[in-house]
Amino acid sequence: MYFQDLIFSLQRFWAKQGYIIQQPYDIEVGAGTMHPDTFFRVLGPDPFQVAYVQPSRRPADGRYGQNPNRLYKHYQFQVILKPAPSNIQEIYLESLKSFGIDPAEHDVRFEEDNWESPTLGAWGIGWQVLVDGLEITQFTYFQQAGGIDLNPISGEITYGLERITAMITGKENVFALHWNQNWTYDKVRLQEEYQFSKYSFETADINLHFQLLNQYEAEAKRLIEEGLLRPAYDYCLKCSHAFNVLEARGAISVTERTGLIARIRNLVCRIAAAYTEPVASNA
Amino acid sequence: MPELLFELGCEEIPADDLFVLTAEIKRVAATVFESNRLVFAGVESEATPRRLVLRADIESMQKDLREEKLGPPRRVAVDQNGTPTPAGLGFAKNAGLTFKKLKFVTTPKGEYLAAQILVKGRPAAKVLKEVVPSIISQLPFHKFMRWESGGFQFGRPIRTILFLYGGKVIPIEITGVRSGKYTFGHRFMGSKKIPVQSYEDYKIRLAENGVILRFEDRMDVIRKELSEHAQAARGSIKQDEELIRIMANEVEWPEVLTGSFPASFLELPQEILINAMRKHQKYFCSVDAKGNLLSVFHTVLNTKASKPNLIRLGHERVLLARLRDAEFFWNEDRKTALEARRPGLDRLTYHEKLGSYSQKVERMKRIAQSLLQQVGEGALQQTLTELIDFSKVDLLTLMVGEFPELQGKMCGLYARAEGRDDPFWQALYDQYLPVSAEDPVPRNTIGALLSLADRIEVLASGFVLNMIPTGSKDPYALRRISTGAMKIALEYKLHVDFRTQFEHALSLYSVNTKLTTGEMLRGVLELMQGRFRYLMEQQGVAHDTLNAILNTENRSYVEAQEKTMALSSLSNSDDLKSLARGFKRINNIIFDQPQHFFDADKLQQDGEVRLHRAFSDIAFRVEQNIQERQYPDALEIMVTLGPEIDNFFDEVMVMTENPELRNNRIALLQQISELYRKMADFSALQIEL
Repeated sequence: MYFQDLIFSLQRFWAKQGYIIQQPYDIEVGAGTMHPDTFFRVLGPDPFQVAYVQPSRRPADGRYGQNPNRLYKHYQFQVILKPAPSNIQEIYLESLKSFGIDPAEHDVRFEEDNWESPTLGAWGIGWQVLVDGLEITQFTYFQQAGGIDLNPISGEITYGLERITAMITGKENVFALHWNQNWTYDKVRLQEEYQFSKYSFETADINLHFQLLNQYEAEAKRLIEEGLLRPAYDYCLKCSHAFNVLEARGAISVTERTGLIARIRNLVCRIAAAYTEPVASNA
Repeated sequence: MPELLFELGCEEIPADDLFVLTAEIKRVAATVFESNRLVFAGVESEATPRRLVLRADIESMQKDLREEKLGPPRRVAVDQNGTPTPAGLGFAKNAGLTFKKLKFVTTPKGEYLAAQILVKGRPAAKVLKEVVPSIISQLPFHKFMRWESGGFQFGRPIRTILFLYGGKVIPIEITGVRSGKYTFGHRFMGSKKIPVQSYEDYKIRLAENGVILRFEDRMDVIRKELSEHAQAARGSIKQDEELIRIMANEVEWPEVLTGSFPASFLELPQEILINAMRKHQKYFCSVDAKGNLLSVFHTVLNTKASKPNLIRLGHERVLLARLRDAEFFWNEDRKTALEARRPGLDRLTYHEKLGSYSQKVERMKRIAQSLLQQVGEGALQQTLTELIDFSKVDLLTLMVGEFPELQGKMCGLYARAEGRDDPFWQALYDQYLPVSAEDPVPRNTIGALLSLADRIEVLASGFVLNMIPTGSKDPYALRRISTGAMKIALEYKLHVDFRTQFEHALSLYSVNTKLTTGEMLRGVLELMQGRFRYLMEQQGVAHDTLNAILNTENRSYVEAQEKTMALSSLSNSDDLKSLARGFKRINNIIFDQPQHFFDADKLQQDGEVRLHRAFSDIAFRVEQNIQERQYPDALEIMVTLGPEIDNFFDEVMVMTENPELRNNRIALLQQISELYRKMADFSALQIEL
């Protein structure tokens, strides 16, 4: 199976269930959860069903393309089921069949793993799904986002696309995956991995990123005042990425770390609070 | 009695919760039945990751309740003629009785009008319908969640309810799920809807549908299959009862599968291999007759594998990736000598307020110096200082960065790889032992001292930061740390005076603290004493024995322990009881007295002369035995004084009018008490009457 086939299979599966197939968000994010179609849509009472691929950048996880499993950027397939249906686990297990994993033939396990994002003021309860000892999915019942107790509760399913492809094709190195019949993963991405690792760890301009962080924060604050919550949220994402670069660069001390995360979370929580105010329906 | 059968079908409940839940369902149910006047027997509970089960025999009618309800006092309820007042009649009406059926009862507050009310028992089925939901809402979880719009909180979503009483469905609805007569099988090996008639029937149906209901049965299967698989690999299982328990709570149908990894990895230290298998993949390991690891692993599946090879290949690939990582770290890390890593500790933060690891290491060295002086091991100073310098550098290795649980062990292993001698690397390897109270202490003295110095530093840091354990909260795990410190001091017989050690340790910090030094010192010493009590109680020492020892001055806990053991071995003897009785009387007399001067010539009565003679006969030997820490010998002589003390109090009146005689008698008792308190406060021992 090719890497891109996995994406097609998942998209077709969820499209058939009536889900919106959304596209990746066009700002650097660390996880599919940060996409506005998750963050804003899990807030408030309205149902929503969406699925999308989200390239996720984690500067500190970069390994110059040298490690067979660690990446600066990996691809998540994210599904939001709002409200979480009572047969959510069955639907998920059914989805595995769409790309050739028959759960009855494998050792499938739901192992406790609760998720938390301090920057988003969000947390959930759930499992990591292991197939034959390999974690291929994070499965979460969202409890809070932007510091707000959610109701209804959304289910979030996040598939690790590289891992699943590696498992199905028996590859031990992510760079050896076949993206399609002509291209391997390394030919598509290796240079990018190397350059962004070097950038994040060695040459990113520290002063510039601190300045950016401050300016993005100021802009987000101004936009919150003006009630422009979606643009304000974009600037929170930018803050978060600048923070991640600084952290990978080793420019943030333990003391500063907590404070910076709190600053971003504070913005995000204000956005969530304004978004869920009964009068202002900004969706 | 008709049978209650209740099953809550859930999405996968964490293993951690299941350990507690199985017993808790039973306990909560019994309490709820009891308080609701249900007559019950044979309460049983079981749990798997996907179901919580309760069964019990319950009498079909709830017990009647006879209740006395108090009304107004007599003077309000009736007038002077004894005629009921409106208040009296009103109470009768509310109680649903005529006034004539009421009685007056006497209470401490006076006479009151009272109604005897009989509440008839209702059918158990009706009561169960109301109370079973309250059992569910009382179950404990480490973390609660919501999943449906009603906001109900539970560990994981509830998806099915089986609720039978006397074979009939009791209809309830929780979180939108209606009860019925159906259970369900294993996720991949059973039917989704299985009708059930009784608990017997239920167990059979589950077994047919891929579920082993009992936790103990699942453990047995795992144990048996593990040993078979290990034998087939020509080895034996590295015993791991805790992992068996975890796995038995993660599956409904355990089946062991064995895989292997390339034998070349066996060149890595075994700790690294075991860590990768055990901690990260929850695999069991096998060893050969000499205890060396075999290149196999055993995993517990939650299914009858129809394609075992497919599953095995998957597990092998995952483990291989982990082992490759570990091998890479092992090779990379050894390119830098431990010595060369030391400067790196300057830049590694220990705590934002307490500075870097270098600063911690410096504190440890000064603590160690003071410790060595006190326990008379000054010769170890140089080695211990060097060990402390090395002890934290493994935090800078790739291996510990990736596998933090190997901290300390890696330090030892890298030191061994650098050719350090056994005591040296072993001390580093063991520096975090004992982790729990059950763990062994470090295997050599210098390792014990290293661990102790580290623990004193961590405890002092914890108090400086005001991270003090309270109730169930202990953010710095100071209880665990201090238990280990106490265990090391006791097992190595290190005569540590923790007061001077902590006084010194607390003086090494230059940060603002919330508590005064005196408060911190008191707090940490209380903590240490609490840990001594805990360890002694674990060995079955009684509470009052510990009080008797800890009420007196002890030069060290090693002495306190030796005294405790000596006293404890006598704890039920009549001699000791008699002595305890005597000292309770002595204490009652001398506790508020100034020190009096004793003069043997002023003794008059036979009883006091005899007591003085008996005491004088033993005093020297007792003193000497205590001095030489021969506590059992000392005690053996000391208890002989009991009858003389009894006799003294029978015959002699201490508090006589004559002040000279009185003070002399008190002085005699003071002398005796002073010597005896060098052993224990015998008055603190309990004597059953």
